[in-house]
Amino acid sequence: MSCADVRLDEYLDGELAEADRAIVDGHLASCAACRAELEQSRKLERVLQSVPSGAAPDADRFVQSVRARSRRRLSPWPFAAAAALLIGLAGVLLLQNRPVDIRSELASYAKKPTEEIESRIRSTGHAGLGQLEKSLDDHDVKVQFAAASLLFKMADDATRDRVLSRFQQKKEPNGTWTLSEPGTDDSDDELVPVTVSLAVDGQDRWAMNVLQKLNRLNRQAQHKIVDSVVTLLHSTNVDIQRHALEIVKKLEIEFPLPAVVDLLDSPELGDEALRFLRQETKKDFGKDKEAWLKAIGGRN
Amino acid sequence: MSEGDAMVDAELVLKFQGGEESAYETLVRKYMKDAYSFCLRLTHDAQEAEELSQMGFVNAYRALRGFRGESSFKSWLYRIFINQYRDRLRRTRRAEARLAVVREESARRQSSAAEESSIHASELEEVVKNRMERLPDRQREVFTLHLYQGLDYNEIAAALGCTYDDVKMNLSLARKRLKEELKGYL
Repeated sequence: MSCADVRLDEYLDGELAEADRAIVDGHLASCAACRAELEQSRKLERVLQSVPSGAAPDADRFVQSVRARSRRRLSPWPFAAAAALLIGLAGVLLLQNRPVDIRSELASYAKKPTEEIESRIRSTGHAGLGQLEKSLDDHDVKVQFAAASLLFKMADDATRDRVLSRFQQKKEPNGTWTLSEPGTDDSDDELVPVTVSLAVDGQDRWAMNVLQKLNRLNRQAQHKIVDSVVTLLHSTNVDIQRHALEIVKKLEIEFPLPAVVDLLDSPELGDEALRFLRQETKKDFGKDKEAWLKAIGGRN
Repeated sequence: MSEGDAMVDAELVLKFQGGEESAYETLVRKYMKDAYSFCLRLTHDAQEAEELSQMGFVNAYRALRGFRGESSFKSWLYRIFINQYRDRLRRTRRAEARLAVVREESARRQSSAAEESSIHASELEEVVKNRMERLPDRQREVFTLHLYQGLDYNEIAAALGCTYDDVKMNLSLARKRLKEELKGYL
């Protein structure tokens, strides 16, 4: 038998039947080159196996998360049916001049946060805030986010702290996981407006992390982030502008620079906007907005 | 994998298909470490590995009712993880191609991450990681399933949806290449 015919890999991997193993054994006994080759393969396996793969995550937390995400993705029809039922109920309730249906308002708010929805929910007073907190446990992550975002806007400091601590618990490997995981499903791009709003209102690093995940999700999500942030950059509230600029700085995404140029004449944010533009473009036109717009291609 | 082990899996699958949800949890607990370490070997990123392994189990949960046992549960499960990994890889590559800015940023980040990790990880770890990453996709998958997950050729073929001979050839090519590239450490 020539060395080329020896099935050394299969021999090493335990893939040969007894008779074939015996043939290879026979060859190895008389061939130093094949013995060296086999030893080399064994050494390779030892070296590769000596590299650790890293500790596995906590089993309970892992299982809990798989369970929650499996539930979320299962049988969309019961959720759709439930949503239809809620919408129907909301209609009946509205006809009867009953209070606002918080959950269906939240579902709409998650898709498009509007001041009208905010004021309707605000009008429900203390009871409405309680329902918002309960909605943090909703099965739909979008509703959870809408509730969190509104709580940041409306609730007192103690409630805001409670909401924040629930988000932070989620971040902790051994904490209780009360919220579903965003940024994994293609339809999660619907979460963008409300997450931007959360990042701006709550100044929460966790919301920033979620935005980063959504940013990587798909192109549609990226477009939505750009749209929401550009709108906020043009806000009349300087705090909102400041937070929006932070998002522009931190997120790996191509934001339209003219929106940042517009901040140049802001007494509060002009200097920061200028630093950002210099860094991004490696150019410097001071606070001359026209020169900047000309250099970066104006408004498209 | 022992035959007894495969039998236990098959029983758990049947229980789950019969409506016993807790049987699936038992399977998740049994394979989560393997799944996670497999994903980690492929991605070299703990967060990404946890995400991939969790989503693999979520997808397996959805598909398990239709599982008819043509291969072992273990091979079937690895097939799901592989598909999950390939999807993610495609998505990442597409996204990177789309946004030049993101690509540059990511390259900057990777190089700084590499600098950082070279301080912490041993030189050998870095070299192994690097060489494994440079293997063609199929060779890396075959070799990882074989060496780190302990699957035999038939199990790997079932997991990857290829033939026994494909496994043999890819394993042999990966081995040859790694021996050459890591000869200073052997």
